[in-house]
Amino acid sequence: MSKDKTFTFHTKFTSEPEESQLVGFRLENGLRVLMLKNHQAPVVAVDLWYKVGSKDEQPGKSGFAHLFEHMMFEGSENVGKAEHIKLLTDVGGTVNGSTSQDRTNYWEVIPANQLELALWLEADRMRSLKITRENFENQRATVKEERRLRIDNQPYMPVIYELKDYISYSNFAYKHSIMGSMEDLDRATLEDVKAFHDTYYRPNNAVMAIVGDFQGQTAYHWVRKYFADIPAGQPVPGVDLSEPLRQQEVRFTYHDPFAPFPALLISQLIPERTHPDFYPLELLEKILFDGESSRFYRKLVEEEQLALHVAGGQDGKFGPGLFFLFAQLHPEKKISELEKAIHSELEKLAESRVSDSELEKAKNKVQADFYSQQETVRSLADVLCLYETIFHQPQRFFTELERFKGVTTAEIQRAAREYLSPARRSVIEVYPQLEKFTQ
Amino acid sequence: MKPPIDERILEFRFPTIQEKNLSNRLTLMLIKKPQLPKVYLRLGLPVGTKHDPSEKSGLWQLVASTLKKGTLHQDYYHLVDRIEQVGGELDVMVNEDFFILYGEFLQEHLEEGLDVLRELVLYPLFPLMEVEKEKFKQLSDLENEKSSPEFLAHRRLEKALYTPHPYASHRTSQSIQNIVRDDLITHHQLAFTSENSYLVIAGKFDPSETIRLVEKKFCDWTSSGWRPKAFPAPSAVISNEIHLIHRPQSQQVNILAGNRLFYRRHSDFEKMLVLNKIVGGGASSRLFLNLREEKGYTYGAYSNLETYGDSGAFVASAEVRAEVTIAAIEALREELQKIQQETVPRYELENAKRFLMGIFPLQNETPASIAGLALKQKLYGLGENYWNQYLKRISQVNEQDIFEMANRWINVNEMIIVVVGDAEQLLSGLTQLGKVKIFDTDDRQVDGL
Repeated sequence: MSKDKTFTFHTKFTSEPEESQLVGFRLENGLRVLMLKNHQAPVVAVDLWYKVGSKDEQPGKSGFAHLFEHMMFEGSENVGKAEHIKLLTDVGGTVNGSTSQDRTNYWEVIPANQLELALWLEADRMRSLKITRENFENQRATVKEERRLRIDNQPYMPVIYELKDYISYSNFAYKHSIMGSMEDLDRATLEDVKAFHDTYYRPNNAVMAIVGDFQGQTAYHWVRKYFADIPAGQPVPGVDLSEPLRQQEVRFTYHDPFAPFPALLISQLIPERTHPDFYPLELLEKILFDGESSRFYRKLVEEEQLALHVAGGQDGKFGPGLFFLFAQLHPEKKISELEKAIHSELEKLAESRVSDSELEKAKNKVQADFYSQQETVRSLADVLCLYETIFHQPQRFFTELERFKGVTTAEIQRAAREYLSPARRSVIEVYPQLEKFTQ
Repeated sequence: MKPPIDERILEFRFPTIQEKNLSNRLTLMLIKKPQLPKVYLRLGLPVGTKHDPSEKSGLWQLVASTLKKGTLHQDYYHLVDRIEQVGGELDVMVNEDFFILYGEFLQEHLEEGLDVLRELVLYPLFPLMEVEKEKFKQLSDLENEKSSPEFLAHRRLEKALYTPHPYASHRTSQSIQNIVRDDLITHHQLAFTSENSYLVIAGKFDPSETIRLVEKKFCDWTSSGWRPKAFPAPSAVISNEIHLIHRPQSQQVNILAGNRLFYRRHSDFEKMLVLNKIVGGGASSRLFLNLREEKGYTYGAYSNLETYGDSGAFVASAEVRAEVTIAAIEALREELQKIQQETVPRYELENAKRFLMGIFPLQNETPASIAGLALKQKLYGLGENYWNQYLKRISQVNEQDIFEMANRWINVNEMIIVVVGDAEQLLSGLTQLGKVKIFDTDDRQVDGL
């Protein structure tokens, strides 16, 4: 494991890397570039992570990081509005971006001979944006429709995407919505866009992974050619993500206009993604939620038929994360019965250890996931950016299985006792607005 | 500065498939992609929800959801444990035309995976209690489906486009209640036949050892001689109707506009695929650029070819705020008229073709996706070497083809337009566009609000 700590970002290209050999470069402006050659298919992925997300927003400006992500497709010095996507799709590429609480990423997967185009495009919009008021208003309207499409017009989505965080956190950073409120979206200005780009969209706040079928020396040459003269920015201001522990469980009731059945969402506050307890908690996720032999599915859906569906797991973040469960109530049962059964399962984990074979099954599932993450160049690029961004050790991903292998049934029990306790718990009861069910 | 584009289109050959017809007429297809120590399984059978008896819609879905619930030799929990204990996955799905079992295992667990697959294919018991439990779940799923505006829109469009073909049928609470356990047993016995079924194995494995294993595991699976029956063709579409589904309190309006099209193996497919890319196949297509980037009506506006074994549709869609519904429908119609009236510019045509050819290797990156395409080729009867032909056919499409396709298959005046939203806000505006029929979320036509 010691090799994890010795990953070096080179400042010069020295020799052509081998297939599957991870190499890193750091430009003078602070941009970190990861390269991994993988010739499975004649394709290459470029994935650029900026360390900025909704956690960096100020009260009254919710949704801005995501709105800004849209603006990155609206034009830069040499690229017109909507041309970024057009240039890439015209050569057979796929392209998108996404915003989370912690980071924003932009990615392209392209035929192997179009890597230079993708790098040129990413560099152009990192260097400067060129956005008109009209384009800004257009994207503000688009984001409002995205909000309606994904959240406001769907059953349960306001609970899963917004209320969960609202009730689980007291710190504004993670408490507020990624998509933002309609009022806050209306408040955003074109000046905010420029300031946001100047502050966060600097090479020293980014990491870029290039994974797939390419030649290392040529790729390095293009990276230098297009990115090296982009000026570095000031160090990015940090955000306080600390979350005080509460003394007792918090509860909330929500009436959903589109939900056909009541539902229950329970979340537990857990540590940040870099904490060593990530590993026992990940195995707990497998034991409780993964597959038809998982504890919650078997008990709640199959045996006691208290729920129609159950899902959940660990949502690891740069700061305090959540371990959550969402269950849709069986129409002939009561929310109180469902909740009691869930608590009793959680208590069981605290009282007695899981069996060796159950732990082995969970580890086998983790191993299957580990390979799945390497199936496409894009998912591999994404995990490399994640590991560099949070651990500053991108190569750590390849030794993760060793950390899971060492977890014991005693550690699972300790993690369950520590993190699944009522003081860390938030509960949302969801009821159809047109009350069809008596509780 | 000019973008650095490489003008070459990389040549791509679909991976070689080793095909073996087993003694029981099951076709085995092997695709070696040994980068990761995993194997991917796909077993496809030519039976789907279109084969549901009309009064028992939902039957094949019920077969799919109860197939794992116990076999002659093992109960449900044991079967699931066997799969999941080794970190494997094995699931069942059914669509309009086909029944598919799919899974993945670590290389060393291939035999275990095949063992469980054999149990599910040959010896399912459909235990009475499990069937009743699943029926109840399906009744609840009907309620979940009804809460989704996307589902409501598609169900209505399919009914309007495909009746009397069974593609128009959807399960109802009555049709689910009509199904009994014996229906599952008899339909499984009849239609789960080794002949015309295809087992694809992709990933890392030893081919000769795998052929031997599959022969051994599946040798007692026989052919029942079942032949799927032919269905009545969809009847003529009543011209230019607007079907408005009243979904109270909707925060947005879902719009679908569809023309009936051809079945998947039709020789116009690739030409229409190019047309679709130009009109609405992506974020640089005309509908998206017009309705989103220019007008800001929507998060996304697209078109799509929804082609099945027996028929299909060209469908354009957008989700918009209520006040721009009429303007969005008109913009959508204008784009469709434009492709019928004006010759597509050469650069736009070439870019669409280049996209479809360039993206094909991306769509074939994983063993699972290659296995999926290999199976599709067989089940739809697309012909030998189809995926290499597919690229060639796309490369040959010209401006005249697009013009002909637009006028052969798109008819703006005979489109079914489905609108889902709060009808109280929408009705008066929509009546300006044509005859409006109103439906509730149970898809019952109602006289008025």
